[in-house]
Amino acid sequence: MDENHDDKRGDERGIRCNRREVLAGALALPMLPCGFRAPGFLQEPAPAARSKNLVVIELAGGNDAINTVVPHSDPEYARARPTLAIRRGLHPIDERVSLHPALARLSALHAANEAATLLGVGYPDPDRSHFRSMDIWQSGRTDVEDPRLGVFGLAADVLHRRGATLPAIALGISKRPLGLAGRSFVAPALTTLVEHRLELGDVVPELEHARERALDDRTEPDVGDDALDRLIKKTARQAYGSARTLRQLAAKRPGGGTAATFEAACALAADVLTSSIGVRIVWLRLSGFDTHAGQARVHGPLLAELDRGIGTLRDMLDRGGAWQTTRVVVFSEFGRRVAENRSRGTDHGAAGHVFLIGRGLRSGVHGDVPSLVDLERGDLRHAFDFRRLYAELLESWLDVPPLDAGVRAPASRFLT
Amino acid sequence: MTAAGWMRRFEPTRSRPFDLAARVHVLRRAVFAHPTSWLRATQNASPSEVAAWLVNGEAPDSRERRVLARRDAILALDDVDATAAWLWSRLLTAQHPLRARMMLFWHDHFATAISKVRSCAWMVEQFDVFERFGLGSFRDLLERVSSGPAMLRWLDAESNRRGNANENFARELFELFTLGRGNYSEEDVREAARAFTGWRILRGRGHFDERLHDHGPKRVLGRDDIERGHDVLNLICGSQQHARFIAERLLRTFVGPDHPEGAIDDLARVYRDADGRIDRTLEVLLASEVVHDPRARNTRVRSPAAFAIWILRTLGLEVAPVPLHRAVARMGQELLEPPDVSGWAGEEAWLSSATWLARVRFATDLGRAADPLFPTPPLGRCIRGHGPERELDALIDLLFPEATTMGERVNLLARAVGEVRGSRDVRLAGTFTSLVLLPRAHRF
Repeated sequence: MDENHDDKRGDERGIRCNRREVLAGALALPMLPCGFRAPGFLQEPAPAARSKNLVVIELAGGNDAINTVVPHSDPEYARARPTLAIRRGLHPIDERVSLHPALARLSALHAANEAATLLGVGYPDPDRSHFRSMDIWQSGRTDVEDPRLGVFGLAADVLHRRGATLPAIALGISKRPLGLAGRSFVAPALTTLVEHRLELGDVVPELEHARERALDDRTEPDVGDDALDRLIKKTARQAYGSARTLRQLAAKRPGGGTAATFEAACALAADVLTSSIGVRIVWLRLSGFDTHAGQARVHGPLLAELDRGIGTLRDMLDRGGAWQTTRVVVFSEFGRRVAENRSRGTDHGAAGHVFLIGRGLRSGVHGDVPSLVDLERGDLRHAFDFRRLYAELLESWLDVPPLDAGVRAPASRFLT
Repeated sequence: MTAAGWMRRFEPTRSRPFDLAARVHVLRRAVFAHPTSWLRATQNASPSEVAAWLVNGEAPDSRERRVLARRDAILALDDVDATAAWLWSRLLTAQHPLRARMMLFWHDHFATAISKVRSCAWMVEQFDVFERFGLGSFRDLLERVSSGPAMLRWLDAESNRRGNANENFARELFELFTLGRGNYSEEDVREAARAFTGWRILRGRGHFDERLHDHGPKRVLGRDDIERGHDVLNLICGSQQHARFIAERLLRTFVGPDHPEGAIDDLARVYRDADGRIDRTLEVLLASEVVHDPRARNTRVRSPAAFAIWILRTLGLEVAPVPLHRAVARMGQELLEPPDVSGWAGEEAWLSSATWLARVRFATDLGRAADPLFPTPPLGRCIRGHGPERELDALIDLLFPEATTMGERVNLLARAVGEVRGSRDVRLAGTFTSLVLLPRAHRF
């Protein structure tokens, strides 16, 4: 480095301070305050009496609704899908529709009255951009140009205010989804639990505590902090807090917990939800549904992955005693065009289907099978606005007023 | 060149001097870092001279040439991590730091992910296009990027054929690359997709196949004289809305998310007068009133790349590039793997519990001796002075040279001091880590 950095610029700097004075000032201030109080996030979460949980599964890229819930009784289906129509191995879930052959577990859950299929779900004036449509699905808003807040992030804010230290978490994703973006609570997005730890380097154990305290100290409010300072400090504070919480959790589990695959993320979600650390909302994502070309090759394996993940989630939650209190909702930003393209794929569409899974809900197939002929610019029309389901999940499951999460739609009645 | 309104040249005054703090701000915004050598090169320069210095850059030195010479060896490996790490080396040794910074900017703008492209060579070719054309005419850049194999594969150009147009590229072209949502219709997307039919990849290069092209009439954005993709690009790049779109992107990057509304039109005018040349546009912007407005300072959240480049280039630390690439990826910005075609969400989205812990880990790793990231020369040799106070002072001088008042420095020190015990290396590591974990180290 430059040897002059120390002094030559001094004149340019205006008031040049005396090092000795500065350090004396620094040392005179309490450097490592010895815990006068335990910060909120250090306190144990109140042992919740099996609070109700929600698992959101996002199918990213636009899942082809028509080949997921196949209208086997509609003669138009084969016409619209000359190469992609599925004829064999379907799992009928009522007289009108069947699930894709890869969805064996989901079909069994239908048979056991633990799953519902909601047909023709969407929103008015559908947008065929992945980003815009995902923004709409995750924010619940069509009237906000560039939404920054997600429905379940706002719900997590409410739960956080009520004392949950870690109300929401995204697993298997490194970036917080918009759906979990709230105003105050910063939901962690993790691919492994091990990843979520505080690394303090080669610190001798006696110093570790002091270092951690020093970090905490730096998240304390200062006079003159602006909104961005406060956000950075809050993020840091919650990072340290959740790291401590998950450290306790990972310590109890061999392997520490990784979410390298969707199924592993589902297993981790079950772990987190059965561990009573106060997580209420888990967000999972399965990507790759943007099947513009060669759809048959990729769609089946993706749905099989989804099916395995749902099965694992359900079984582990059941063993852990939390299946009764969990609802799983599976959505995608849009369905795909009714007519297949020449690349044996399908382009962006509009309405899709939603799966709602759990014990004790109104199982079965709800709604009319969308027409394959009466289309909206080549796409399925929606008959049910997804925000009605959000309203119900918020109101009667998470006990959060829908309006607090930006949802104005009247609640549906699928859960009870 | 019309540089009016917010784009008028910043003229320093007694109350708003072009002092060290002002220079540090513009360097951070433009190129993330401010090593002493850059501060010296721009000493006594006017705002316009600094902008010109940034836009002109310098020729590669021996270190940069050594990195560039590894190209064939890296491409022969065909390994994603090695490729990303090599690109990191290019970014960190570039003697034209603004050009390197624009490589990152365009990687975010034309966000293409190797997980779908599946060719390191094609991704490198795209980065080369960013490097070569990223400060030139946007029209040229757009054409090169659009016809490169990485983009053709990424947005499914190969399945976009006559009689069955694939809309993927046309849609993102309008929405994310040139116009922005709401400035075109679904019909425009469909028609433009037909204009782009015929492009495919032949022997690793973009190739236009006349036979696969849809020669029928097309109507795009109200114009009927559209035949090929080329015509669509010309049409878009000549439009008023496109200039506004690019202006907004540049303002968000160099001024911040809350730039004044009126600045968009002012910068759009500059961009059009510059015939869509990015270098000439940036030369005006970086010397302009809006960039130098004190309200623009410290309004952006440092991206992981900005955070890493700030520390490494400013302190002159060299680190092993593969672990560096992984560390930045953990912080949320995996080079060659943007989350989707809209790029990284940026700003507050960089801040989550997980990515914060990754920042802590990166800061910790840089300081400690036994880590694979372990910098050469180590921190200890980049920092002059011995004894806790001199070391601290030297670190503050380098990282926060703008902290010039006593109050500011006392505040920094008070918040930063780690341990004063231990060996010099342990001390330095602790002090360094606590300095770069201050909130102000994560905004710029």
